[in-house]
Amino acid sequence: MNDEQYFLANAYLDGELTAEERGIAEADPEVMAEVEQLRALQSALRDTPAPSDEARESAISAAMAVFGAADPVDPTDLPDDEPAPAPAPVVPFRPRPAYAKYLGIAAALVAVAGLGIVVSQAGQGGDDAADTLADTAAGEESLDRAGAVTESIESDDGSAAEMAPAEDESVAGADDEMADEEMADEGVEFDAEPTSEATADDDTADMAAAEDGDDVVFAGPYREVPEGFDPSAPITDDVELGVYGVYLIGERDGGQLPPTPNHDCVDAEQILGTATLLLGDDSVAVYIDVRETDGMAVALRTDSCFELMAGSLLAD
Amino acid sequence: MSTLDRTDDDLVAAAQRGDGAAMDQLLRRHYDRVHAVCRRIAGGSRDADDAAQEAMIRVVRNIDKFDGRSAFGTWVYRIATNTALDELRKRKRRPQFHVVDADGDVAEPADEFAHRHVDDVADRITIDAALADLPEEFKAAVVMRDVGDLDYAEIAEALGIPVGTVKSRIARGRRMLVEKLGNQSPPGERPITDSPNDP
Repeated sequence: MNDEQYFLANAYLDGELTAEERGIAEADPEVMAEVEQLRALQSALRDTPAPSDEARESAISAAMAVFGAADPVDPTDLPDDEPAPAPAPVVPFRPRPAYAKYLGIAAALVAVAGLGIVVSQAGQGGDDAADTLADTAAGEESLDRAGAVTESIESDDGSAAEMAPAEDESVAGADDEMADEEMADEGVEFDAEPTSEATADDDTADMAAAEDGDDVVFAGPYREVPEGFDPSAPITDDVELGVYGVYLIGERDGGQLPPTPNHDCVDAEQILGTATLLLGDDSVAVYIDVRETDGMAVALRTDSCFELMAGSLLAD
Repeated sequence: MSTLDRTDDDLVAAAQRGDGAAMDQLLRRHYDRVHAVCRRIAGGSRDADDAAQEAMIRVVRNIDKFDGRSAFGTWVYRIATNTALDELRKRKRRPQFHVVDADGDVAEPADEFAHRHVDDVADRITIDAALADLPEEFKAAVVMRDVGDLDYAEIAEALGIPVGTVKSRIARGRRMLVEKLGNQSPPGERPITDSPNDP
């Protein structure tokens, strides 16, 4: 089968042919045999396990908590003329001060050290210590994932010391709490009025925030920006992308960053600049979305916001 | 007219005015396919749950910015695709830790999320493995078409590439998948059924 036949088979399957082209395809047994094979592939791809009701409700509840509707309405029960519920007022948090991230890093180190102490006790103390560790890891229901780890710990006597430091997300949760406490100690206040996220469903909102990763702090050092770094040079791989992201952070923090380019990338965290990305023989104009909460720089096509590449901001 | 009968456009307009029921209905209407897209891109059931939830949250956070230039579904599936790719990258960066038993043998993975601890064997057979090896640009195009059910023009709009490139990426992506799958797919993985989009 040549390429022309192959593309014809694909377009036939996808319903993207004119009547005349369909006629040509249907008259060619090779094309139709290929269509059958592609149809089988398509069917296999579509044959995904259905999401669980629990996952669906959890996702929608988390999203609706963000929307501000405390009690998502069962759409099947909604009368035609029922007035739309007024949205809950959304009071944004004040942005964190610049030094907050350093407090976060310090708190993360303290948290890691604290867990290390507990871990060493757990390693010596058997079940009781493991339970203590489990309680610590679970925190105040900070993350379901901590709970999952707890189960593992409890089922494997004596093994806790091997794994406890690994639960970086529970550490991040501790970090966040500690950072907040330190900020409070220093007179940094959040708005007294709770956000809709907080009031709508605390557990769900917490889960959403945790899943969202917004509060995860990556405490590792950033990549070094080499001397003589040329920000106008095209980016060819993920390492260069990460370096460029770090460069942009430095420019921003130094007040040297040009105005943020206008864009429609609604799910970007913060677009700090543009660049040219080399993909094979193609040069693509991209925005650089610097996701500090995620430790990543992401290249988004300027014309579609589609993610083309991601590179770590953090040193290897 | 109940929310069930309303078009996406109507529901979006209502949601942008703060109508929680409309927002809820939009999310319910698109969740399963968002989940399927995430499942095929991220590769595991739990990762798909995470990515689909994150996609739902991003949709809500940005609903007021949706301007209707594209179909709502196209916009949602683009968000889902990006979110699933994010999840995939996060997973790759996540360290893997294992519980070590008294004999020093590695037992169960401690972080089921990092290790793609899927629920059953069927979740990690050939389709996932083949998709995992596919370059992202091909994977996104194939999944948007075959799972998201978007047409070429919608995919082109979502990915910001010409329709001809979409056509090429889908065809080449499928060819790669077929080559990777060979004839190794287990029974039931590749049933031949009628597609609603067939001409």
